[in-house]
Amino acid sequence: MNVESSTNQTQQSAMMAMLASFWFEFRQNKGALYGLIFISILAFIAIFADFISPYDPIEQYRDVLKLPPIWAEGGSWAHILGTDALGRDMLSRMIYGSRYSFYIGSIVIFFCLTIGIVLGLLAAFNRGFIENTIMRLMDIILAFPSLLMALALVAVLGPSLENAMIAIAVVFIPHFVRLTRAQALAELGKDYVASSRSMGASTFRLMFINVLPNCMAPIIVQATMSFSSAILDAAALGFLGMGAQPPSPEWGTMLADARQYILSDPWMMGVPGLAILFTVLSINLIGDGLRDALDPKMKTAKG
Amino acid sequence: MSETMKNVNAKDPILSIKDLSVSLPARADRPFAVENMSFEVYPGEILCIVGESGSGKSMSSNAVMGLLPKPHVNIASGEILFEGQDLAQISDRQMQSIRGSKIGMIFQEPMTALNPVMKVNKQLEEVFNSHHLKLSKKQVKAKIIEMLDDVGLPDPSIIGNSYPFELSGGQRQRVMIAMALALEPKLLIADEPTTALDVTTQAQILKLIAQLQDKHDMGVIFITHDFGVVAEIADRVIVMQLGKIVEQGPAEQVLNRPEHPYTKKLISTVPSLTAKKKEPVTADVVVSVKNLFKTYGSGKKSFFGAPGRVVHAAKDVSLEIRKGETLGLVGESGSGKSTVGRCIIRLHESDSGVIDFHGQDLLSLTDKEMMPLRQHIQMIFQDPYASLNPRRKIGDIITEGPTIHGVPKAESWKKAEELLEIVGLDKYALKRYPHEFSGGQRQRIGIARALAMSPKLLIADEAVSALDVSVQAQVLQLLDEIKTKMDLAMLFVTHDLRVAAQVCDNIAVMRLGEIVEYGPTYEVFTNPQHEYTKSLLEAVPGKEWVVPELVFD
Amino acid sequence: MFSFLFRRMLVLIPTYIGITLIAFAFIHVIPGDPILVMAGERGLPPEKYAELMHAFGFDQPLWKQYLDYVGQLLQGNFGVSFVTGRPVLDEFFELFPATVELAFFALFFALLIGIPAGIIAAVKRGTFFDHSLMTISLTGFSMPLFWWALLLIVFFSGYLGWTPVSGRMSALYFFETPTGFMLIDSLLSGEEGAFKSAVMHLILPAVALGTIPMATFARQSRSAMLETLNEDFIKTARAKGLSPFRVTIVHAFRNALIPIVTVIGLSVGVLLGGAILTETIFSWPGIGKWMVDSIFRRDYPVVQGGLILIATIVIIVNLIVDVLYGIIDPRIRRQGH
Repeated sequence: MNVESSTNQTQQSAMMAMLASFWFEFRQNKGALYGLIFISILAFIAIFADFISPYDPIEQYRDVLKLPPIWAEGGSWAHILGTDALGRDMLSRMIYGSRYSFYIGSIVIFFCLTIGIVLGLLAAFNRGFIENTIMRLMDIILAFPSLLMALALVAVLGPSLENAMIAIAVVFIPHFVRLTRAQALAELGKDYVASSRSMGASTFRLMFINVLPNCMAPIIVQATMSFSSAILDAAALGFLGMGAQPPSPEWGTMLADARQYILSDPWMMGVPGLAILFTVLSINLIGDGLRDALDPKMKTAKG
Repeated sequence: MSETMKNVNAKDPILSIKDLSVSLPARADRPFAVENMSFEVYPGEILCIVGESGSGKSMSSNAVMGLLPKPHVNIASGEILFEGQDLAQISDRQMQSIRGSKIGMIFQEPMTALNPVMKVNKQLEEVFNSHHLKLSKKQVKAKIIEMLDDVGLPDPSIIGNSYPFELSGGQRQRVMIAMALALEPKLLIADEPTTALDVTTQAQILKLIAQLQDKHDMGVIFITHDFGVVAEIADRVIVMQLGKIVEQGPAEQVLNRPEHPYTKKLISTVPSLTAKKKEPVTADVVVSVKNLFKTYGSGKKSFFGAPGRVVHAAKDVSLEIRKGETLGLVGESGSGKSTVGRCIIRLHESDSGVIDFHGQDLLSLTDKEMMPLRQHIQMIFQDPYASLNPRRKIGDIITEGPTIHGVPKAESWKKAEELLEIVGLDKYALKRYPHEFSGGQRQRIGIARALAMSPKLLIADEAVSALDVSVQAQVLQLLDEIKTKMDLAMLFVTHDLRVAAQVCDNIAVMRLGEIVEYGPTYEVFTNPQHEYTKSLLEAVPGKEWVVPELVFD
Repeated sequence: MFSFLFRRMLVLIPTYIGITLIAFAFIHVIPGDPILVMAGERGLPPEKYAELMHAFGFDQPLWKQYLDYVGQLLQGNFGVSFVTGRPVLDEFFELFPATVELAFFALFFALLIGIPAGIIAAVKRGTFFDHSLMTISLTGFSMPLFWWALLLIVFFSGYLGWTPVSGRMSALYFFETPTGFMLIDSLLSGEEGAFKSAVMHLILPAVALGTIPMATFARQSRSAMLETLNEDFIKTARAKGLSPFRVTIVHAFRNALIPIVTVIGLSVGVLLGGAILTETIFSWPGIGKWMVDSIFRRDYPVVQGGLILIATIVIIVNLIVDVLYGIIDPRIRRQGH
């Protein structure tokens, strides 16, 4: 009994120590820190959108169409970022739009990680027919430019945000499968795996307890980068009218609405575009920071 | 050590280093890689710098060559006088013209030290072309052939037209030497140039360096960790520890009458090449391997008619190990010695043969039938870094085997604590991760992991090869204690004949998958029968040096 | 080398079967009856409907339809557009040069700036230049392409009025387009100002499309260079007394080429995907816009044929990259048997 509880405790303290050293590495990268701060604020806004947002994002204020933002001539404090062509409050739409980014990124990454890791490990542990089948299947998906494939899939499934997310997940999964397989194969050649094998460890144990945790660092980095790519692609699909449908305040869809006014009222496309750029940039900065902090090469060099 | 001690001090030094300190970045474990180092190199001498890993021995030569990894590592103070110039002060451009023409350098890894995508000719040509020698193309070509011939490469024109990956390790190192000596430098720096080579190749390269040094009357700085190599070629020796010179003097004196306690400690841990006569072990046979075959590659012609390549990793291998006995399986790389070990533990499937373990033929068992037997055979691996799962705690690593075999967690953790004590580690290590330990400590953990299964047969696959010599001695001692205490049978796979001479009861010498000689260690070492065994023993560096019995104060 | 290529192409057979299956499945899983879609709003009398069903083979069992379809493809018949009534392949070859022109200059722009920038950043690691370049390239990498294109239009076309907003050529000029490449055709036409117009039309979309690959190249060449600069043979090269330039270019860059060529190969897919957005925004009459328009018009034979043709381009590029690997790295070349 005593042994049990003390192991649990040390497990926690060891975890804390790992996290602390990870945090130390991560903090070295200033960009990553700024990225994390931005994303944290954005997450806060997304969660508390109901309380922060001054207006309903889809309510149309017909008396103030295309109101410019506060810093431009004719702006009004009532609508800080102005209104769109239908008189909807831009700020409120932006605030609610942040929810879509997290929603899209999380769902897409969830599917990519689960399916990609399982297929990648299966391929690595079953050299031969299963491996070839899985990898050829991934080759086929990768033979189509991802945006085109996603567009075609959405055309089949029908334009909606959910279908756009499915399509994006499908075109991202091959990258996860390839990465997981390559990582797992590299790990499988190492002697700690040989040691486990010589003790009689089951394939399941080898896969998930021994090999997978050692493959996670690059997979996490890839997941972070894919999180931002998913936001970009979803916005692109929204922009083409194949993603989130009006009147949802998704940033890409908002850009599509603003497109016809780019020469007359260019500010209308400025805000959602900048929001997408900063969100994606922040996540990519975090990804770079994670890469540095998780890089196994740097670990051994210090060890 | 060369046969005749040359009177080198009569001449002026080529290189003289005064109070050199090289600083490390702020987060390193010590402020200086090299601290207050002073020494001279004279023409016509081989100066060996020895030390364990992290002693700063390579940094000193990198400082001379202006190859420090700037901007993190810099010369903090001191002078490097070469031909009246202070190399620590001159510009990068001046340094560039000295490198390769007046000071040549060769490195440890012949596999990676040559540009993989450039032909050997081209790489040699560059040396001539970049030092503005005003040689015609034809002259350069002739020079290259001459150089390749000088370093003993057959068919210089064919070798010159090859890519590095098409050459063997020894050939590549010869190319490296040809490149370093192309412009007849006054000083050659050799940074562990034979460490990555097999023992017979090593002997040839050492001979070649000594010959060329003599021919060109160069000064040579030879960096190594191996006292055998020092004994083989050094005229003078510098011993380094943690960035400082602790002892320097003529080779004969330092090797046989060391004064500094650290030198004494290092030399006392060098295993002697003389095997002691041991009583043959007569206990029960634990494992007996009969006619084991294992090939890699299909052997079938491939679909498009290219002949399949077959490598015989084990060809009719038979051996047996008794309780309490250590069998040494020695050979050079590619001899198949590791494969045999891995076949016995069924990490590799064999093609045919019998592995009789306590009356059961392991090769005829299914994976399921093999399961209960797995705990009886355990392995210790070579690389202390790759053989422990970096994401798991030591406790989890040690108890993994017992857990798989159904031992309750509390019980196996308790046993793990005891095992750590046996291998000389604190029980708090259980809660820590592999990267918090040094190489030697990790190897102790690997031993504890193997012992957790209470094995009857222990396979040590180059278990001490990656360790510094002093750590190596400790781990070997630990293995010996454990073997005696637990009455284990041990298969000791190694390339190091010195270690084998000390550890093994019996020796099997392997070449190209075959056992060419098999017998009691003492017999094999004193009266080798097979030509290959003789050539192996002949090639051991420093074989004539008798490691002195040292008295510690 | 040849047998290597041959083996590589054998692997393509299952890949191609998969690609045709996907394209074939496309028309059968889309919501709505393709015949009714083709008929449009007016609807069809039942006998005409049955006739068309038969004409398109939709009354056959699926496997037979698939085999017929592949048979047609092998003869170079990619179907006929519902909308224009012209063969898909003809339309494709008519529009393809426009996309090639755009993608080529985007790639050119990206390589010209991205790779040298990455090399310099790696050599000057940790300096201000390195940090700023990495920040800029990460920003480029994070840029929503469609927004970036719009920004360029707002600034260069709207605010400065330097470049036209859309199309490939000013409406002032009329000439034959034998090659389909506007830069070449405008020169051949001899019309004064036509070439300039072609260039001005090309610049913005090419820059927009090239930005993301440029950022990718800069990042990739930097990391590949950092890796090779750490290799032992770099130390050897320096120990030989070679100039820093020679060490960087002849030894390091040459060895860093494999990962760089890999991203260049991958960027062709990115360029084709990006062409969808760029061509839509700039009304550039290439295959990207063609595909999007066809998807919206439910011109299924075009979408189907276009998917296969575009996948073919990607596959050909991958093959070229494999050949390049062999040229760059003798180890790959000599293993080739």
